[in-house]
Amino acid sequence: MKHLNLRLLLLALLVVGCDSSLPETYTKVDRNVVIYPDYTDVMIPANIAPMNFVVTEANATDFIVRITDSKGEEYTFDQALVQISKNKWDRILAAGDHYTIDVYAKSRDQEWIKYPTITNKIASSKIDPYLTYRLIEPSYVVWNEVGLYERDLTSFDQRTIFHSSLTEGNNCMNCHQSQAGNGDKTMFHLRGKEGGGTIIAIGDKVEKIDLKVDGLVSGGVYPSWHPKDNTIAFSVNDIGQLFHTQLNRKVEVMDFLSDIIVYDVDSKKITQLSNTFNTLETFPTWSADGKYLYYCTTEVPSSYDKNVPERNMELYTLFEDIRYDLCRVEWDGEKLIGSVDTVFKASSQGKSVSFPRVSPDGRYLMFVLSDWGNFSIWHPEADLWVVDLDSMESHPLGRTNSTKTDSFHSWSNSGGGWFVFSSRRDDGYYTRLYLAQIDANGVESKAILLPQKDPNDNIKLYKSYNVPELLSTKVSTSARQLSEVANGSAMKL
Amino acid sequence: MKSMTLWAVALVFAMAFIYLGFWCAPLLAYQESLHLFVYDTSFVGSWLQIPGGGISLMEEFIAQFCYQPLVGALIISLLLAYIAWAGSRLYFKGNFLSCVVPLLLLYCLSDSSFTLVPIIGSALVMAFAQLDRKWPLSGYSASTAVMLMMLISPFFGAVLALLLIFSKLFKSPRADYKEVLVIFVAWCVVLAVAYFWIYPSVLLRSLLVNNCIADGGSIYYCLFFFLVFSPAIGLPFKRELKWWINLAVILLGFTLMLLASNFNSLSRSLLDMDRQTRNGNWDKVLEIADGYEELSAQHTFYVALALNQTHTMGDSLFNYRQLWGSDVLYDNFYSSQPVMFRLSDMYMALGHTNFAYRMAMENLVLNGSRPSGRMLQMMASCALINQDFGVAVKYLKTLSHTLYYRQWAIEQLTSQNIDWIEQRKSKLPTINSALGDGHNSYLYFKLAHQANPTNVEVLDYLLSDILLKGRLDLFVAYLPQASALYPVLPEIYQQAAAIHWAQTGDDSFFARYVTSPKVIDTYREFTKILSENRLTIAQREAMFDRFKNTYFYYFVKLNNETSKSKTTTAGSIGGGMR
Repeated sequence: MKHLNLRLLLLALLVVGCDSSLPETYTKVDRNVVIYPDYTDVMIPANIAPMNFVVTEANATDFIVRITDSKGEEYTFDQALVQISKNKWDRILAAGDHYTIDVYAKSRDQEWIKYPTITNKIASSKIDPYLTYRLIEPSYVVWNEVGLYERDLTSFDQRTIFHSSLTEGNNCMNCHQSQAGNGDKTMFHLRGKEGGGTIIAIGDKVEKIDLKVDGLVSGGVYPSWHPKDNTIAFSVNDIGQLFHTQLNRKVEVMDFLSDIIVYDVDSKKITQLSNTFNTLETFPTWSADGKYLYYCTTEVPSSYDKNVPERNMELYTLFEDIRYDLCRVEWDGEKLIGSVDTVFKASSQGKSVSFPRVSPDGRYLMFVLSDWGNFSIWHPEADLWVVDLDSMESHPLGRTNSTKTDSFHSWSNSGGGWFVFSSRRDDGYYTRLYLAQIDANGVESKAILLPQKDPNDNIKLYKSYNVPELLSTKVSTSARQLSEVANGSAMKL
Repeated sequence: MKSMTLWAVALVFAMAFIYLGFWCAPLLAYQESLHLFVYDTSFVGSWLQIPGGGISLMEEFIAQFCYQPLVGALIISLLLAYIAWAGSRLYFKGNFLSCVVPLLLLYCLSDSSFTLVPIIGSALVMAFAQLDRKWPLSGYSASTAVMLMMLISPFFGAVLALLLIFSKLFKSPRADYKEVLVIFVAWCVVLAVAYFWIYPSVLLRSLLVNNCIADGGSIYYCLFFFLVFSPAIGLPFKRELKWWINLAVILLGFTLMLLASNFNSLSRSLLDMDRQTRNGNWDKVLEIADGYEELSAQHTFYVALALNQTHTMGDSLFNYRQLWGSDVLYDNFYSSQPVMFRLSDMYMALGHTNFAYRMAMENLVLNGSRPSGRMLQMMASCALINQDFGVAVKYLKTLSHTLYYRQWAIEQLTSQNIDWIEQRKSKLPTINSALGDGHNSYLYFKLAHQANPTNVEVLDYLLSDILLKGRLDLFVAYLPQASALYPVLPEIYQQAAAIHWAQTGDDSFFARYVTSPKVIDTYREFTKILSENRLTIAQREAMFDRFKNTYFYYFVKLNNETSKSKTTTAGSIGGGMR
């Protein structure tokens, strides 16, 4: 009896230790297999984490999945959930060029079927290894548990950069950004009646600044860190919200007032770049060489020339008529010079621009185009567009976009034309992060959902990924270091 | 001693079960609406990643049974009885002191913002203390217990460490300092590991007390003081007390707990209304309201919603004293979970699924980003009605892994019993309108009416809001639409129309809108009394009794309150109330 048990144990270990073999007989079908995430016919960065997926063929009960790398090495999995070990995945990536996926499935009493082979390409270029984002519910007004996180894109490791529980006032935080993907120079805002301010960390030096000074509409809001200098451009915005009764829309976030300022981190000096009342400027962003400042601007159709409540009420009724164009103006290191160029006149097409970002090589400017307004995250029709800054021609990212919201985006600083963007294509509400590439020929790739250890976690997570930013180096300041400063008072300017 | 322990424990169990199961049933149901337990490994895993997540997970597990309050009461009562039993065996030799902690916990539980964590934590602490008593391996069993408890909850790990340290210090015949040292070192080591390696982004304060701070006031802290010092407190009781002394003190303690409890009849009825509203038992809501002469603003909100949903708002609104004006019809949004629950119920009932969804989502955020079955069910319902199937499936998949929402979720996922969705669709807004934040009740109801002019429930709310404000000018503007939607114009609207006629003298208006002989008779009777020069107190009281359910009375009273010095509008219907 003892020997029998031992033999059974050895047999079990042998079975567990072996890969499953493929079925001997099967029928080929023409229909493509459905897997989640849709990692079919995609291009992936050369350093990405294992692209785990789940076969979502509802009628099938048994699965065999075989992954073959470009050198012919095979890896077999015998369940719908395919979780590839880091070791195996590194071998697949190291083989390079491409890998294939063969899926065999069968229902209980049926014979095996084989779906057409999936081929995914492996790019020679890498994406920035770190991705920072905020996790927050797709909520409207209140907040409670909010955090900034850093994900290692080469694995599934996620760490907390900062969290609302690290502040005494349980403050909300938003709009984090680093200088040209450098985790040593990073900033984010803290919000709340008590303890608000802008946290700026350069190496070990962390400061909390109160950017709300007399004469400005607000403290700094949407930031853009100059690619070379310790200078951050901010928009200052007076923001309001509207709630829709119509079913396919939920909330409208709009500006009543907005201007642009520049904050010099070293001299702690604020320079106001625009101060126009019914002309709103927002979403400043620097060119790759830091010689131009791009921004979105609109002339609001208001009959008031003073900031009175009636003006806000009027603008509330006109929210569908507010459309932003994309402009740029030259920057000489201290001030704006020259005339304003209109880079993309969206309003003439009945559209509106938001979130412009220039690629690190200076070739493209990516932005979001929606029907109106500037808070495109809540606009289902919002799509990503690019302007080729050499030819000034623009086009939508047809293969990358979806029928749902495609919005906030960030370029990889490691070359290869990779970028990350937020999209609501999964379920229409919860923002998930997608990676895509514009290659050297200017052709965009199909977007891939940020890989997770268990892809089902995307469905189970009740938070949205918000404001993704790619970094080439880790954020160097620890959460507890940031907490100390965050709980102190903000420096008045 | 053993038999006395058992009857004391049985008494605690019986008292707790009766109190929780029958009196606190609405409270337990409300507790359940803040919790969710999903039978899924990633759900369990996500809880275990946070400090104190282990004990919170246990709380979620137990709270799910409060969906059926008697089951929840049974489990909680068993836990309380266990705490009494363990305390009795360990420190109190079967005397009444073993019931102090359970009674204090019962007191704290009667606050709607309280959680089950202290009950579970106390039970675990007692369980580990019992294990240590049974296998006292020179402090190593105690230190292992502390380490395990620290993993479940650092806060209760500290409570256990203190309790065990005191039990060693007051050990008979003499204190065992070596064991004390071993326990202390074990606690420090686990704390250091947790602080530096497991939770590097968490502050020490959060690490120690996460999930364990509750609104129990000073009683809450007394509870832990008593628990920790139990070994010392139990020392003077070398001998057993007489059974009747124990019985008398336990009963006295229970009575004091009942008297001091925050959960009185009014707060109970409010939570009961919430429960009945959630289930759409509108008649029950009105039944509860009938038990009170005067209702709070929150009670009146539920009553108005119940009247609205039973289509009796236009006839019976003033059958309930309207002491709070139009504010009670509509809670403007602010950060309170009960308000968000009732607002989402109201929006859902009126067909404003976008707004109902929003309230459920905001509530989820306020609940520490922890969805509950009630919130998810509301959001899934809104998404199904709005045909946002992607997000509906997300919520339904979660609910399909729960105990009490599973059947409903599977029905929706497999498109069974979904007639209710079609029924709801007729109420939906047909025109887009957008509403700014910080609006008032009139703006909301006006917008809701614009978005779907045929939604009779919304129109009822709009007219009631206008009438409670005393704005007959606005009321008259909506009257033709109301008249077209009702086969017979409700009595209150006829009464308001009669007042307008009295002010304008437009006979054709009167003939068109005031058709009920009862309304006409009441109006005549009312104006006759008002035309008297001076009313005695007795006459006023009689008038109140006779007309308190009419809009005539409310309107005159409202105008007299707002404009005592000048000739009021009410004057034109009979000289005002003097």
